[in-house]
Amino acid sequence: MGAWLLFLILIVLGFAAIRALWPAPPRWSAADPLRLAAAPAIGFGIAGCLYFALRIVLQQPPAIAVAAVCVATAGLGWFAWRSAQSAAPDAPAVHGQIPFWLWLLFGAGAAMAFFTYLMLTGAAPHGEWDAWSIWNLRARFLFRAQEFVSPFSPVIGWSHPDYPLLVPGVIALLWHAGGVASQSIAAAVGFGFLLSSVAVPFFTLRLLRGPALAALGTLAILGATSLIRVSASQYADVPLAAYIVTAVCFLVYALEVEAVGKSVVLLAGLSAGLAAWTKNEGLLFCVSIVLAHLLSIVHRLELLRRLATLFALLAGILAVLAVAGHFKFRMAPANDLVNAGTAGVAMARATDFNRYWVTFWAFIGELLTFGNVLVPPVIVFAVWLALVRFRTKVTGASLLPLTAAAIQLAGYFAIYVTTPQDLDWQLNTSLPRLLLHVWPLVVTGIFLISGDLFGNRPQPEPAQPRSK
Amino acid sequence: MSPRVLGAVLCVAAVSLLSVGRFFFQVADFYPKAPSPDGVTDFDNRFAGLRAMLPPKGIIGYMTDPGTPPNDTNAQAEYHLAQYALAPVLVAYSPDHRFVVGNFHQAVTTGSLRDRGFKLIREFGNGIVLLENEKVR
Repeated sequence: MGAWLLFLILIVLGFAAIRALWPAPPRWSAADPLRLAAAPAIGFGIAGCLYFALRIVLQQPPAIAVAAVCVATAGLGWFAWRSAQSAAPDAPAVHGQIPFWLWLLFGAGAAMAFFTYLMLTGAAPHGEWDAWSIWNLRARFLFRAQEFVSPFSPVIGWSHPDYPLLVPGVIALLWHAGGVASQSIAAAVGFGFLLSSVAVPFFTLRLLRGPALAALGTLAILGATSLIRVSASQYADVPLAAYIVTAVCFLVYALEVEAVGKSVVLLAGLSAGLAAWTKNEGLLFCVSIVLAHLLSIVHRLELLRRLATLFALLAGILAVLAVAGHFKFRMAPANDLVNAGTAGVAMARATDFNRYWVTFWAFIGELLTFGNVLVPPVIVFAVWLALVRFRTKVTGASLLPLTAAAIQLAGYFAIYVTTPQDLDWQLNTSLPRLLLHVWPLVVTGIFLISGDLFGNRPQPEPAQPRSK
Repeated sequence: MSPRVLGAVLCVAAVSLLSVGRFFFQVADFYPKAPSPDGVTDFDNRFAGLRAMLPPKGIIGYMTDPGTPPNDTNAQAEYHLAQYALAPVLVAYSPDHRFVVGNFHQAVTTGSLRDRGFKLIREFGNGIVLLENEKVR
């Protein structure tokens, strides 16, 4: 009972944190569904950071960590309430028509995805291999251990003790609140992340492009059923995908609706930082989002705004990287990819043309079979864009998701080429999951640049900048 | 809605919905046949008695059937599951520790274990035993 109560408190914590940084009037506001969609990921992230700082670094009793989360929720809720008194209304969502049958298709897809998740969780409540050999194993160590040396011991080097602790930390925190290591809680955390990874693109597209494209885009995200399977497997790949898409959606929204100010860019940075505290690939994403922020520009004037918001983005990223950095430099053993050989060996791999060839064809192969989609997504989206064409005015902000995804994939490509592990094994075991990290982002990006299909009315003038 | 737009919408919606639907029916078909309790829960339960005996920290050795190849996937999985079950005690895949968990699928006699230098401390059933390595004291 205590665990489920705290689970709800964490979602409130996420919503309060987002509303504190991105205020809106006290009544339900146009962008509140987006805030609520991101709340599970942001709430779990803040709680994961607090748990690490209090329980693992300062070695406080679990009750202190639980109490701190409750105090943080109350404090941020109070701050959000105060900010709401003087906040300007959110820019209204784009109004558009959506055929009833499209709602029906969307509802059917979402319902089937939900029940599939439930059945997979029921069949394997502890998740699949990586769950019980890495993520839930670490959560068990944190929950049961009375010291914090064993969980990172080289004796269990195969469990990657250098992996970040957001997901195990939040599961352990909830287990502490409930007093028992319940697998239902771990599955619920996984579902919370899955919900954010799907609902954040839906509500961002709904705000910026109207409900029809939002419903269609979200249905396309769910079409890659590996998203549901990997999420139910309780791996950290879907939590990472949730932070990646949340960070970019907040950033795109802040850039397209300028009136929201830099605090939403700060939120985007925080979400990118939380990606780095979820999986090591999130560190690469912090670089990708900053580069995409600076590069996805179609007009020279945009560059000035990008530079003006860069500090807020970096501040958000660095706030969470401080936590991840403390873990990486003070507690965790070296990463197996980083620590496996000299620079000369890495250079030899980087100049081996065959490794590029093998990796290239693995990427092509995976792009054609990705996600267990009936027809390769590359073909589906090529047909889609050929029929609907691009928007009449493609902004730099709307190109940002695809730019960030391209940089992230280029980074993955470089890591594969230089990996010290057996290349074929590494590609076979991880490439489908790595592409999943950017899947919601890519679909969001495609729908942001797609032509307007349903006669959406142009977005009204954005709200005036709020005054304090 | 023009035929071009309808075609685009149907292309994405149909492919996505059919993909989700196909996966849903695959899982719905498999779900009633899935073992209950699942394999991990079952494995976890086998180690419950041993975990209750162990201290809250330390290292314990691990061994399985003689002749198991070191890269055997099932053996690796069972070792990882043993660590999952016994956390926060560290489980090292080596018999060179004073206390060793045995996870055997073939019949092993106390005599054969004694010949290899292991004293049986307790048997937990289902092939799970706690041994003392008499060469490491």
